[in-house]
Amino acid sequence: MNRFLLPVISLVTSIVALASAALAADCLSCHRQKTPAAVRQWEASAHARAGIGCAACHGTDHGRIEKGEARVDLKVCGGCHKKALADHRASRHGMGLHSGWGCTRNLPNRDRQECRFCHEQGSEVPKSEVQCARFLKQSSEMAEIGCNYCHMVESSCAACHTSHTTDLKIVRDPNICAKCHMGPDHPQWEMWQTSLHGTLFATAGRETGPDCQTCHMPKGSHNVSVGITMSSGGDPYPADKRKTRRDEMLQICAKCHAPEFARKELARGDAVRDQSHALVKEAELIIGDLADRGQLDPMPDRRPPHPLRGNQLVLDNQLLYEDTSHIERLLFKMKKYDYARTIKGAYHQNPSYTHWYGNAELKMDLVDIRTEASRLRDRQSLTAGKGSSVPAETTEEKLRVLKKKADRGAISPAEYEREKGVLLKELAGHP
Amino acid sequence: MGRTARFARSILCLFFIAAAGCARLPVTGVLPDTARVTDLASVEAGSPFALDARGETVAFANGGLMVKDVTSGEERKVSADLPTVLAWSPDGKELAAAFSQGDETVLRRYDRQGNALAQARVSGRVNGLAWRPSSEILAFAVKQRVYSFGANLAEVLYRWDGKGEPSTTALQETTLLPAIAKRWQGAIQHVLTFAVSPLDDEIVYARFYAPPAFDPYLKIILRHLESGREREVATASLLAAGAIFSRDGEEVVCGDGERETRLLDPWGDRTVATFPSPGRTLALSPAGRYLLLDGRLYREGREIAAFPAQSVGAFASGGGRLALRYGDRLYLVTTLPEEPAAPRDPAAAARLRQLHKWLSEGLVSPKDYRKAVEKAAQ
Repeated sequence: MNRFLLPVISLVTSIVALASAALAADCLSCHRQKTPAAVRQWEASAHARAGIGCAACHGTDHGRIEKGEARVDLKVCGGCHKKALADHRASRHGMGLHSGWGCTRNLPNRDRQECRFCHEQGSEVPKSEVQCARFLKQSSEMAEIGCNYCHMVESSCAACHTSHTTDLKIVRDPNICAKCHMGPDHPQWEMWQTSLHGTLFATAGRETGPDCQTCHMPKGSHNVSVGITMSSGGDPYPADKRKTRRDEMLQICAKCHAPEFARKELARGDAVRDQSHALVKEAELIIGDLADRGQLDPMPDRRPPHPLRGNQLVLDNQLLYEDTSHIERLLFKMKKYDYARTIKGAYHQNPSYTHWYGNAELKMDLVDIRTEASRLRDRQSLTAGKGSSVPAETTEEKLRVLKKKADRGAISPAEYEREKGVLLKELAGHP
Repeated sequence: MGRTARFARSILCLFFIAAAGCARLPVTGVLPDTARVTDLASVEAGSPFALDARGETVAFANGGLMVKDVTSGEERKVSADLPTVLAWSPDGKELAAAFSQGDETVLRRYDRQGNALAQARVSGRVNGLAWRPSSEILAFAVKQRVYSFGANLAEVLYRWDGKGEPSTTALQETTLLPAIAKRWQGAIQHVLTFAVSPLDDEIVYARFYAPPAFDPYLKIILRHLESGREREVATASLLAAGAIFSRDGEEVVCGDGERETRLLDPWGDRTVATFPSPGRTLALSPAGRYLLLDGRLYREGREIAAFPAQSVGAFASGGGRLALRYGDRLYLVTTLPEEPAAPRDPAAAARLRQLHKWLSEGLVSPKDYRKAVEKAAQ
């Protein structure tokens, strides 16, 4: 059977390759003029050598291609590169980056083309229900450049590999990661470059200094999330998942380091993360409490509505840096920039990022937030015309604050009931 | 009912008519020994009337607005206009009256001598009036505007202190389909009414609700006046007389308009008592001992006597007296024995008002509320 099938498969493949190459020849006559770089890159690629022509990826409907409807997404590539596709889909690159998108159907002045971020041609069903408030606050143009150019990695191999080249030299170079993994929110590129790993890489080469791919894409895997023990927002995974991931990372470290050394280094990173996480939570509690007492300026119901939650206070990963209060903007910087720099700096063994760009900023942010909270509290008492001292809260105000805390999960139902009982006793004591 | 039973009932009825000073109000069953029924006055059929707190003066409509001293029989015309609603102030010193004038209503306050003290004009037809201790008048009005595509219906609460312009609170506004508007236009004017709680901090009112493809009905809504928070406590047919509060304000009496009337805990969705009467007319004595439902007089939950089902009654807020309108006559039932309700401690009342507000806003649960009320009662 096999003896019969193999020649047939070989023959069919050859015919397809020849047909594809023949069709490519049709395209090239024009595209040498119109898109010379694309043709040059394809001609030098492994695809060209294997006889995989334009139509194999782009199809033959020139009308659709011209309208931008025949984009080569990862499903096209995955038809042949099955393992890479599976690895990619199991990773944060392949799953979590919907967080940079959102449905813009009901927003004014949007480019209809951006529907393709989440929808396949002709489908109303989105590929993901996850939405990002920060994306939804941007114009179409800003969303395309400022969000989609990175977040497109979920559905486009070209985000890293580029469109027509197949040279692995490009994607094995850590510079390719820098397009997205840099800047104030997650400067992995900068912190790796200036860490001992990065400086050794620059001075002694990859064999001595590991790069992004060495640790995050071991053995050429497309699963870049191997060994990561927290969410992209810096929240630690549950203990069981954390242990599995940690074991994966220790195996990678152990290729160069003694396991005990690696374990201790990563454990130090965990401790820094937990300590820093507690500071962020303290800031969130301060702001939540101000909101409960109506002391934010402006309060959420006096701002443009949050794209996903309306007029609610949002302090989680859908936190905004615009159309918000000053103290929330301080939290944004604390959480998205300085907390991220501290913990990622720690895991990348970069002293300056961990301390001066991260930890110091993080703690100064908390000072600023505490001071701003104090100012807001004082201001409310002054606005109420009751002098500079903060007036005593009435039982009703206390009940209202307590309910808001319970509603947003800041206190448990049992704590809520207990504290409410205490306040109701106060009522009994006052006519 | 068998022939013998009917005969016995007629004899009993005649006996009570005779015993009640030859009044023409048919009564069956046994009124308390001390009770007397007096024929008070001739009135416009279906018109409003109001008995003052002590049950000594009655205001009614008969060719205009009339006020009659029950003891002396002295009667005088206060206004040539026919009122749509009447209400005496709690101290009996002032009378509030509403006069419908086209799409508007004139609200007027009179002293006991019948002198007009103040007047205000509001839009819509005022169906209910109530006094608050602060001398403020609450007026519940229905506004209807008919268009080719249907009708706009609004229920409105006015607050009037007798000095400035009344303030307006919209309770509901809806659009009715043409067929619904045409069929129920007349009824809407009369079935939508309200009542104020004994603590003056809440109202219950009937909200007209017309779901698509189904017959319209009433939603009985409890509303806290200060917080503006509302809660649906029952539903009823358009024949029901809305709802009233129990003596202590902890329950609501509401008929379904068809079969039965229930005493409800509005927060616990609990039925405290049921009466086999549809609740097309409702009245409760001030200490809560007597309940008049569709002409049936209940004492402490047990039916003791019955007036005609179409009769409409109102107890004097001071207790002991009941005015009844049947057909074109107004009657007074006196000396209904009832211990007056114990006066509420002002501090306890203030705490209860506070709790009502918190309950309406969800700051305390019904369970918290009941616990606090029980503790206060200890």
